[in-house]
Amino acid sequence: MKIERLPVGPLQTNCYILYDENEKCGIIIDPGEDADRIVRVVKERGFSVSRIVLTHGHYDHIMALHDVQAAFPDAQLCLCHLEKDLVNDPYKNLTAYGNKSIKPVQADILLKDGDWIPVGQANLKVIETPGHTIGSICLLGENLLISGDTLFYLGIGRCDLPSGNLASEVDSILNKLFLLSDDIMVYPGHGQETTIGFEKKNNEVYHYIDRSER
Amino acid sequence: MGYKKLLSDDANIKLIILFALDTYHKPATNSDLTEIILKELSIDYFALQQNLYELVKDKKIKLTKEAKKEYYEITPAGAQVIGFFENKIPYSLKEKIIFAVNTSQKVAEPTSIVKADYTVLDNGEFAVRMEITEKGVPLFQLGLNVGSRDLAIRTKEMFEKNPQGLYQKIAEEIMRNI
Repeated sequence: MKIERLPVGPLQTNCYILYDENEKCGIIIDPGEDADRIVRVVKERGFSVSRIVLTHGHYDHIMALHDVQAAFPDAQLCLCHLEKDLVNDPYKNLTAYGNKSIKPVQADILLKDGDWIPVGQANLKVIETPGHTIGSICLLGENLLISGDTLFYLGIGRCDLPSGNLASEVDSILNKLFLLSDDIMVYPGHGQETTIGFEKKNNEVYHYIDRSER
Repeated sequence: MGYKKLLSDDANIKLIILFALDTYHKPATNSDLTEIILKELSIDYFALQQNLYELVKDKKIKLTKEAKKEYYEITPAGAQVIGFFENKIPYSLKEKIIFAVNTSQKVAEPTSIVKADYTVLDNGEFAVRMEITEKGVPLFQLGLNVGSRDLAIRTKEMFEKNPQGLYQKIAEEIMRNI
């Protein structure tokens, strides 16, 4: 399975495309902006898109969704079941604060913890990681983790936005993500890649442990 | 480099200062800058001041005086450094600085205006008009006819008590059925 990162939009959200070169099929994760570029790259790689997956519903991860869906009408939209209300609330998906608007988002598949998303011969496992938002998820593949805005290089996602919760975020990271193998490559929602092992030693999450327990 | 070490490393502190000034988009006083950086990041105050001094000395930022106040401003050389090395700053740190800058620059203004009033109709009923306006644009408008002045007043007061909650309930109900 191949993975490519496309930083898009003013917040340089990482849109990921994952595809099986042999089976010629793949998925798109977090089409945040620049629909034309995402579509062009996917078409250049020559695979069919079976699913579009949102790690969470914030506007910088979804603004190009409808245009990308129009380009790949057979792709099923996947979203965590806990996020389906947030993604359509302008005060929670934050479009209201950015003078933006998006048409209603209708998920085809509501994901739960432990679900599998096929990518050709490979599979991604859904891990519910509430904290940044109530329905934030990470996707675990063989030696890779798409971490959305839960875990960044040396940082964690903000928990002070609607439905955010610091204690949940800390718990998600320490008791789910940091239990994974050290050599797993982390592909975050913004910024550079990292590894679980590096973040276990160096991440800022430990700075928040006392605060989250108050 | 770990998170803690990153915030105590002079080169990184300088990058953070340059990024903060670049994001601020206008001259900033020492207290503006200190507040932006120290509010969100665990950087030692004295390390911050030392690195500010060194950046001025290296001409990456300039210090000007106006009306008895001193202001820091990024220079073209400083902007060039940020252009080259911005990606060295982890996203989560940049996000914190941007948030702190936006918070500090926010002018207190009402984000939404709630209005409710009632009028008497020819048939003796009372028309209650309720509205939420966001930055001058009507976000939500609702009209309700009720049978008495007392009911009109209570309807008006109920709406004024929790306009966002009512708006959210109606919006959610509509979204649920789309």
